[in-house]
Amino acid sequence: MATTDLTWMGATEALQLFKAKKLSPVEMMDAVIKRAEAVKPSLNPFSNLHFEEAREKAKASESRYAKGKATGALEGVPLVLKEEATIAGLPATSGSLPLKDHVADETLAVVERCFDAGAIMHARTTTPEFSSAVITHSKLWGVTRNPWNPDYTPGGSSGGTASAVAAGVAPIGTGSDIGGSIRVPASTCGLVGFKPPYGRNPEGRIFNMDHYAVEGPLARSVSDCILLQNVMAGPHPRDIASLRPKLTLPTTFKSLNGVKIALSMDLGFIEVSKEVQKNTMDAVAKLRDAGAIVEEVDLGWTPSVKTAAFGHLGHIFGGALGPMLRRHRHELTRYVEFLVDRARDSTAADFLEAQRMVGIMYDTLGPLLERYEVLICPTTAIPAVPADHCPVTGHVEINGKEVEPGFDWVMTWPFNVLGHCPVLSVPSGKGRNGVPTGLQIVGPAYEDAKVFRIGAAIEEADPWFTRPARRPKLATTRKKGK
Amino acid sequence: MATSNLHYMGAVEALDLFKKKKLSPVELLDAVIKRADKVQPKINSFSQTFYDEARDAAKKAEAKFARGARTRPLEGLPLAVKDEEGIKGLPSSSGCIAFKDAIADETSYIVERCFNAGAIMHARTTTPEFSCAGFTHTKLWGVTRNPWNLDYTPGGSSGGTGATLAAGAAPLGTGSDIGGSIRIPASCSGVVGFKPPYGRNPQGHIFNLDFYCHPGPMARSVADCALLQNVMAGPHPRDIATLKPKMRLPLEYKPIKGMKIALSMDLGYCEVDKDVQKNTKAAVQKLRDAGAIVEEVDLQWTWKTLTAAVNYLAHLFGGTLAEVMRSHRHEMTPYAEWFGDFGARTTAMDYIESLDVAGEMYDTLGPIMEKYDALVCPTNAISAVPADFSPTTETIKINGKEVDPFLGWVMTYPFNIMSRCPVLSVPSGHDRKDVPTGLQIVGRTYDDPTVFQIGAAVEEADPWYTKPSRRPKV
Repeated sequence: MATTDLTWMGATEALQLFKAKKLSPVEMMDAVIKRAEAVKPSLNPFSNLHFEEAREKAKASESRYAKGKATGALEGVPLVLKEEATIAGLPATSGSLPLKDHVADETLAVVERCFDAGAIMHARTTTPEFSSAVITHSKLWGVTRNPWNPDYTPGGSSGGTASAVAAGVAPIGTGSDIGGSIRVPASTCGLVGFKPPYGRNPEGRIFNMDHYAVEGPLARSVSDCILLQNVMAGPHPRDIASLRPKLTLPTTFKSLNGVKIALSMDLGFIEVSKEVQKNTMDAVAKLRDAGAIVEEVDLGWTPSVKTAAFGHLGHIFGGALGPMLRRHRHELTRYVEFLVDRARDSTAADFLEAQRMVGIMYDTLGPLLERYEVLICPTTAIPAVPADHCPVTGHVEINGKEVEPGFDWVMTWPFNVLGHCPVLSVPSGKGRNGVPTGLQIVGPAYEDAKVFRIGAAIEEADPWFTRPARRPKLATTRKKGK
Repeated sequence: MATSNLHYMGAVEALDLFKKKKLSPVELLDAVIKRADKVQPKINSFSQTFYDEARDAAKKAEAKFARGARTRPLEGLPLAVKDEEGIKGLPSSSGCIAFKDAIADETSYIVERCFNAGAIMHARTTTPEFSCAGFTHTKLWGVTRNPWNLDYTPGGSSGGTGATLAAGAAPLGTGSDIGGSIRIPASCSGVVGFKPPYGRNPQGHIFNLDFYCHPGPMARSVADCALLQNVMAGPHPRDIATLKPKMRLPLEYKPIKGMKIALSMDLGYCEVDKDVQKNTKAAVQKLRDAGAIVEEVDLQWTWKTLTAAVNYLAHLFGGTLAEVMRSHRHEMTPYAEWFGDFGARTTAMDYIESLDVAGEMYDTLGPIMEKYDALVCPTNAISAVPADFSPTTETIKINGKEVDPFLGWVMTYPFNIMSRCPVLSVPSGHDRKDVPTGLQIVGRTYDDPTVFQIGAAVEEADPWYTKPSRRPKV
């Protein structure tokens, strides 16, 4: 099979061919390793490489298939893991210079599940420092770039994973999301990214106690996203908040005929660029063609949502990173310094105000989601910011208005405030600069299948990555100017 | 049941007799009100009464049963509602004299469900100020006392409900629990109280986002408690944290033969009074006699658990009092003032640290709960503190050792930290002062039915309230 085909093959298809013995995990691993080496210089998505071990594991996988032995749900499938997902004995730097020699002593539950299912990690991927931004650059790892246009960011904080998956380095990857960190990179890289409801996937300490924070899958297709999500999901004895019973997503969905969908272009208060609006309406047209009834709604939300979201995040990050800032200020990135400084005076009152906002927001969204199947809105307000954009000093202009450079260009964090809601981000189109845009599909609390049903319908109308014309062009050297 | 004992009839039994037209809701309510009038001067467990409205509602319920109409799960049953639950148009003072004229503009979701299920609220029950203590006395309502021994507290913060149930002044009552406030009064008052898993029962903002916090049912029997829980439980469109789907508990229980139950007498660190230990062992024996295997385990928890809980509660719950403190400090009780002050001193780091402790606690509890069907331990380390106990000026000693006066005498708050575990508190005996003691039955996360099944086994071996000799002499 042509290497190009293997580079871009999805996990679901690969597994079928592995089982039919028409393809070996060794062939696939060779192809993606080759691809990883090719894109590394221009995209820089890797924190660590594990090619040799991966090749060994692929051989063992090949043998299991050949002998007809029992195989896991991801047997032999190449997988990239966000560095933040700790693996016992491996570096756990959080992209931070002071922690560059730090090694994890525990493996994150969702990672354990991927490995137990037979997935093979050949690379770990970059993040911003402490996964605290929606871009991906750090003093430790440098700048990670978007395969669709390397001048732009692949988003963050799961930017390395998204860049790698969109570039054909792996069909699936893991991410985590506390303010948008699965969905923003999914959107900028043209991928499918799922932020599950709080408690659906086991989370590590202490973030399993924070309803904003979850682990989730990224992939190039809805079916691959479901495949990985079904491995990650389920109760875990180390995470008390993990829900019972395990929710297994279906892989086929009923038609959308007559299904009512609520649309909010701007969530009531966010400045959204014309090209994102256009791509969003293109996605709406696809849904209408599929038989759905799409109606614009007024959520009644205001900028106080942002104050609340960052009051909460500031309290957590400020509390957790305060000592790090005190001891290592000058080694940290500007954006971490800024975040923790601002959070230093965060009080319980700020945190409680954020909790109040959940109620105020859900007072409209809750009843709305009793009347509509899902809510849809853009994932980001512009396709992406430049790859080396500084979330503190950078400039972001939308519709002629200057907005805050940290988080005003993304529309994801309201659904971390409402973290019990499942959210799927699917591609909605591209910007003038070639960078993809995304659509968020928000379901009622704990009703994951609903968002995949809608996402599958959009994908069916216009699948990405299935042909060369729908993939980023191989970037082995950085293009200047474009 | 003879009319003189009608006020002690259970809810499940009463409903059955209503349906068979052998008893009228009017008769039951009359008996309950008569009993309430007799005991209130002593126990002082009501903040407000609605006897006329309740009688009207009971007549309507009687008519429904008489004509064989379809009736609702709690049709015609008298219900004592914890004053803390907002009821549209009714006073919402939180037990604080500064707010004695405040009126609620919304009814709490669980109370709405009880009303929609046909329950009849004849009274609201007392709490400590802002429901922030394990006893029940305020400047506004005075001291609420334990029907078993009037010198002692019926517990708190749902102490009014606990005392009311024990005295026979209602068959069902509501409670809420953020550090033990359903289970402490259940234990002190000798009744059954259920702390559901976080998210099982709906709450309003903002406490629905506080994983320590849960509303829940209290009653004199396990089945009555389940009856009420089944009405309270279930997803709610305004509470994003509510679990799906709704969980329905059975009202009859299979034997516990062969079940494996873990026992921790002290959670690894608590000082536990000798009488409590004795009663806990007696309860364990009942479980063994019923065929369960009960094994002692070492949770390896420490006093860090208490520090974490106090810091967390003070940070968030105490944080909500900050505004009240600014304008009304001098009208507040000393214990509420202390709580608000302590809260103001806690930091984000204290909060994060409490989450770390939660992780450490589950490191041992999680694996234990994979091996065992449930864990049992005492509810309170001593039966109860005095009715007018003042934690800011008085001390508590257990086995000669001084313990934290706010939470050092209870063993409930660790399961507010481990809040996805359901916990049922059932009576385990009396202490030397005749004050009841309780047993906590802690289930695996989200496994409510198991704790009811085990509770039913303890109860079956020795039911309370079914005979005059098993009731308090008020």
